[in-house]
Amino acid sequence: MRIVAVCGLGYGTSVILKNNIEKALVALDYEGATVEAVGVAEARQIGALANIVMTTEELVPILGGINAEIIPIRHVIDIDEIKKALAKALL
Amino acid sequence: MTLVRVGVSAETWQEAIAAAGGLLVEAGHVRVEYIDAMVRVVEELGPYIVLIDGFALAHAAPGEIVLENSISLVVLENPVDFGSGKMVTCVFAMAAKEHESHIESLGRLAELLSDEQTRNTLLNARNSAQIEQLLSGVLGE
Repeated sequence: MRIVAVCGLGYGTSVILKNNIEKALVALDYEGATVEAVGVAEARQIGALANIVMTTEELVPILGGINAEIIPIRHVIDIDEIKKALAKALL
Repeated sequence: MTLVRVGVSAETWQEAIAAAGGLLVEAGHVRVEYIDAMVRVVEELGPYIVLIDGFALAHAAPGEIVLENSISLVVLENPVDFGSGKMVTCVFAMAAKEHESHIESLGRLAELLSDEQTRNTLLNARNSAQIEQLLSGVLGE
Protein backbone atom coordinates (compact mmCIF):
# COMPACT_ATOMS: atom_id res chain seq x y z
CA MET A 1 0.00 0.00 0.00
CA ARG A 2 1.55 3.24 -1.16
CA ILE A 3 0.01 6.48 0.09
CA VAL A 4 1.09 9.85 -1.26
CA ALA A 5 0.38 13.11 0.61
CA VAL A 6 0.28 16.05 -1.77
CA CYS A 7 0.53 19.80 -1.27
CA GLY A 8 1.67 22.65 -3.49
CA LEU A 9 5.40 22.36 -2.92
CA GLY A 10 5.80 19.07 -1.08
CA TYR A 11 7.46 20.43 2.00
CA GLY A 12 4.94 22.27 4.19
CA THR A 13 1.34 21.18 4.33
CA SER A 14 2.05 17.74 2.90
CA VAL A 15 4.71 17.04 5.54
CA ILE A 16 2.14 17.72 8.25
CA LEU A 17 -0.37 15.57 6.36
CA LYS A 18 2.18 12.74 6.05
CA ASN A 19 2.92 12.85 9.80
CA ASN A 20 -0.76 12.67 10.59
CA ILE A 21 -1.45 9.89 8.08
CA GLU A 22 1.29 7.85 9.79
CA LYS A 23 -0.30 8.50 13.19
CA ALA A 24 -3.73 7.59 11.84
CA LEU A 25 -2.36 4.31 10.39
CA VAL A 26 -0.92 3.40 13.80
CA ALA A 27 -4.26 4.21 15.44
CA LEU A 28 -6.00 1.96 12.88
CA ASP A 29 -3.45 -0.80 13.47
CA TYR A 30 -2.70 -0.84 9.76
CA GLU A 31 0.80 -2.01 8.91
CA GLY A 32 2.70 -2.20 5.65
CA ALA A 33 1.81 1.17 4.15
CA THR A 34 4.43 3.66 2.98
CA VAL A 35 3.66 7.37 3.06
CA GLU A 36 5.45 10.07 1.07
CA ALA A 37 5.04 13.85 0.98
CA VAL A 38 5.33 15.41 -2.48
CA GLY A 39 4.43 18.59 -4.35
CA VAL A 40 1.90 18.92 -7.16
CA ALA A 41 4.46 18.57 -9.94
CA GLU A 42 5.91 15.36 -8.52
CA ALA A 43 2.43 14.03 -7.78
CA ARG A 44 1.57 14.25 -11.46
CA GLN A 45 4.57 12.00 -12.17
CA ILE A 46 4.24 9.41 -9.40
CA GLY A 47 0.57 9.72 -8.41
CA ALA A 48 -0.50 6.91 -10.71
CA LEU A 49 1.94 4.56 -8.97
CA ALA A 50 0.23 5.17 -5.63
CA ASN A 51 -2.83 3.37 -4.30
CA ILE A 52 -4.12 6.41 -2.46
CA VAL A 53 -3.44 10.10 -2.95
CA MET A 54 -4.46 12.34 -0.05
CA THR A 55 -4.51 16.10 -0.47
CA THR A 56 -6.30 19.26 0.60
CA GLU A 57 -9.67 20.05 -0.97
CA GLU A 58 -8.30 22.96 -3.01
CA LEU A 59 -5.77 20.81 -4.82
CA VAL A 60 -8.15 18.03 -5.91
CA PRO A 61 -9.10 19.68 -9.24
CA ILE A 62 -5.43 20.20 -10.09
CA LEU A 63 -4.77 16.48 -9.55
CA GLY A 64 -7.87 15.39 -11.45
CA GLY A 65 -5.97 13.46 -14.11
CA ILE A 66 -4.19 11.10 -11.73
CA ASN A 67 -5.23 7.48 -11.89
CA ALA A 68 -5.41 6.68 -8.18
CA GLU A 69 -7.98 6.98 -5.44
CA ILE A 70 -7.88 10.67 -4.49
CA ILE A 71 -9.05 11.50 -0.96
CA PRO A 72 -9.63 15.16 -0.14
CA ILE A 73 -8.86 16.30 3.41
CA ARG A 74 -10.38 19.45 4.83
CA HIS A 75 -8.01 19.96 7.75
CA VAL A 76 -4.58 18.33 7.58
CA ILE A 77 -4.18 18.95 11.33
CA ASP A 78 -7.27 16.88 12.14
CA ILE A 79 -6.11 13.31 12.77
CA ASP A 80 -9.69 12.13 13.37
CA GLU A 81 -10.77 13.29 9.93
CA ILE A 82 -7.77 11.54 8.36
CA LYS A 83 -8.42 8.39 10.37
CA LYS A 84 -12.04 8.21 9.22
CA ALA A 85 -11.08 8.77 5.59
CA LEU A 86 -8.38 6.08 5.74
CA ALA A 87 -10.63 3.61 7.53
CA LYS A 88 -13.16 3.97 4.73
CA ALA A 89 -10.53 3.44 2.04
CA LEU A 90 -8.47 0.69 3.68
CA LEU A 91 -10.63 -1.42 5.96
CA MET B 1 11.92 36.90 20.74
CA THR B 2 11.02 38.97 17.70
CA LEU B 3 9.44 36.22 15.65
CA VAL B 4 6.01 36.64 17.25
CA ARG B 5 3.81 39.68 16.90
CA VAL B 6 0.32 40.00 18.35
CA GLY B 7 -2.43 42.47 17.44
CA VAL B 8 -1.25 42.96 13.86
CA SER B 9 -3.72 44.71 11.56
CA ALA B 10 -4.12 43.40 8.02
CA GLU B 11 -6.94 43.96 5.55
CA THR B 12 -6.07 41.19 3.10
CA TRP B 13 -4.37 37.79 3.16
CA GLN B 14 -1.49 39.31 1.18
CA GLU B 15 -0.92 41.87 3.93
CA ALA B 16 -1.13 39.14 6.55
CA ILE B 17 1.52 37.04 4.79
CA ALA B 18 3.68 40.15 4.34
CA ALA B 19 3.46 40.84 8.08
CA ALA B 20 4.50 37.30 9.02
CA GLY B 21 7.21 37.26 6.35
CA GLY B 22 8.35 40.71 7.47
CA LEU B 23 9.35 39.25 10.84
CA LEU B 24 11.60 36.75 9.03
CA VAL B 25 13.11 39.55 6.95
CA GLU B 26 13.73 41.75 10.02
CA ALA B 27 15.41 38.83 11.76
CA GLY B 28 17.67 38.34 8.73
CA HIS B 29 16.35 34.83 8.10
CA VAL B 30 15.11 35.37 4.55
CA ARG B 31 15.63 37.89 1.77
CA VAL B 32 12.73 40.23 1.13
CA GLU B 33 11.83 38.41 -2.14
CA TYR B 34 10.70 35.48 -0.04
CA ILE B 35 7.51 37.40 0.89
CA ASP B 36 6.40 37.66 -2.75
CA ALA B 37 7.27 34.02 -3.28
CA MET B 38 4.94 33.03 -0.41
CA VAL B 39 2.13 35.18 -1.85
CA ARG B 40 2.56 33.61 -5.30
CA VAL B 41 2.09 30.10 -3.88
CA VAL B 42 -1.41 31.03 -2.67
CA GLU B 43 -2.22 32.92 -5.87
CA GLU B 44 -1.32 29.87 -7.93
CA LEU B 45 -2.66 27.05 -5.77
CA GLY B 46 -5.35 28.57 -3.55
CA PRO B 47 -5.79 28.66 0.22
CA TYR B 48 -4.58 25.11 0.81
CA ILE B 49 -2.09 26.53 3.34
CA VAL B 50 -4.97 26.97 5.81
CA LEU B 51 -4.24 24.02 8.10
CA ILE B 52 -7.37 24.28 10.23
CA ASP B 53 -9.92 27.05 10.85
CA GLY B 54 -8.05 30.17 11.88
CA PHE B 55 -4.49 28.99 11.08
CA ALA B 56 -2.40 29.33 7.93
CA LEU B 57 1.15 28.16 7.24
CA ALA B 58 2.60 30.45 4.58
CA HIS B 59 5.77 29.25 2.87
CA ALA B 60 7.59 29.18 -0.43
CA ALA B 61 10.09 26.73 -1.90
CA PRO B 62 13.45 26.23 -0.18
CA GLY B 63 16.30 28.01 -1.91
CA GLU B 64 18.94 30.68 -1.82
CA ILE B 65 16.54 33.40 -0.68
CA VAL B 66 16.31 31.54 2.64
CA LEU B 67 19.22 32.27 5.00
CA GLU B 68 18.08 30.43 8.16
CA ASN B 69 15.50 27.75 8.90
CA SER B 70 12.82 29.66 10.70
CA ILE B 71 9.13 30.00 11.53
CA SER B 72 7.41 33.24 12.57
CA LEU B 73 3.86 33.98 13.74
CA VAL B 74 1.57 36.98 13.56
CA VAL B 75 -1.75 37.02 15.40
CA LEU B 76 -4.10 39.36 13.53
CA GLU B 77 -6.38 41.84 15.22
CA ASN B 78 -9.20 40.74 12.92
CA PRO B 79 -9.35 37.58 10.80
CA VAL B 80 -8.85 37.87 7.03
CA ASP B 81 -10.30 35.72 4.25
CA PHE B 82 -7.64 33.54 2.61
CA GLY B 83 -10.07 32.56 -0.16
CA SER B 84 -13.19 30.39 -0.28
CA GLY B 85 -14.27 32.00 3.01
CA LYS B 86 -11.37 30.44 4.94
CA MET B 87 -10.90 32.96 7.75
CA VAL B 88 -7.47 33.13 9.34
CA THR B 89 -6.28 34.87 12.51
CA CYS B 90 -2.89 33.21 13.08
CA VAL B 91 -0.43 33.29 10.18
CA PHE B 92 2.81 31.33 10.44
CA ALA B 93 5.56 32.01 7.90
CA MET B 94 7.98 29.13 7.40
CA ALA B 95 11.32 29.19 5.63
CA ALA B 96 13.62 26.24 5.06
CA LYS B 97 17.06 26.18 3.50
CA GLU B 98 16.78 22.63 2.27
CA HIS B 99 14.02 20.19 1.68
CA GLU B 100 14.44 18.11 4.83
CA SER B 101 15.91 20.56 7.32
CA HIS B 102 12.70 21.85 8.88
CA ILE B 103 10.71 18.66 9.36
CA GLU B 104 11.21 18.35 13.10
CA SER B 105 9.93 21.83 13.95
CA LEU B 106 7.06 21.40 11.51
CA GLY B 107 6.08 18.19 13.30
CA ARG B 108 6.10 20.01 16.63
CA LEU B 109 3.97 22.78 15.16
CA ALA B 110 1.44 20.26 13.85
CA GLU B 111 1.31 18.60 17.25
CA LEU B 112 0.67 21.96 18.97
CA LEU B 113 -2.09 22.91 16.58
CA SER B 114 -3.86 19.58 16.91
CA ASP B 115 -4.78 20.60 20.47
CA GLU B 116 -7.94 22.71 20.61
CA GLN B 117 -7.05 24.44 23.86
CA THR B 118 -3.69 25.51 22.43
CA ARG B 119 -5.42 26.83 19.33
CA ASN B 120 -7.76 28.91 21.47
CA THR B 121 -4.84 30.31 23.46
CA LEU B 122 -3.14 31.38 20.23
CA LEU B 123 -6.30 32.81 18.67
CA ASN B 124 -7.05 34.90 21.76
CA ALA B 125 -3.50 35.93 22.64
CA ARG B 126 -3.21 39.55 23.79
CA ASN B 127 0.57 39.79 23.98
CA SER B 128 3.48 37.86 22.58
CA ALA B 129 4.88 36.88 26.01
CA GLN B 130 1.74 34.79 26.51
CA ILE B 131 2.50 32.56 23.58
CA GLU B 132 6.29 32.62 23.28
CA GLN B 133 6.69 29.83 25.79
CA LEU B 134 4.03 27.78 24.08
CA LEU B 135 5.94 28.04 20.83
CA SER B 136 9.45 27.42 22.11
CA GLY B 137 11.04 24.68 20.05
CA VAL B 138 8.91 25.60 17.04
CA LEU B 139 9.95 29.11 16.01
CA GLY B 140 13.45 30.05 14.89
CA GLU B 141 15.74 31.97 17.23
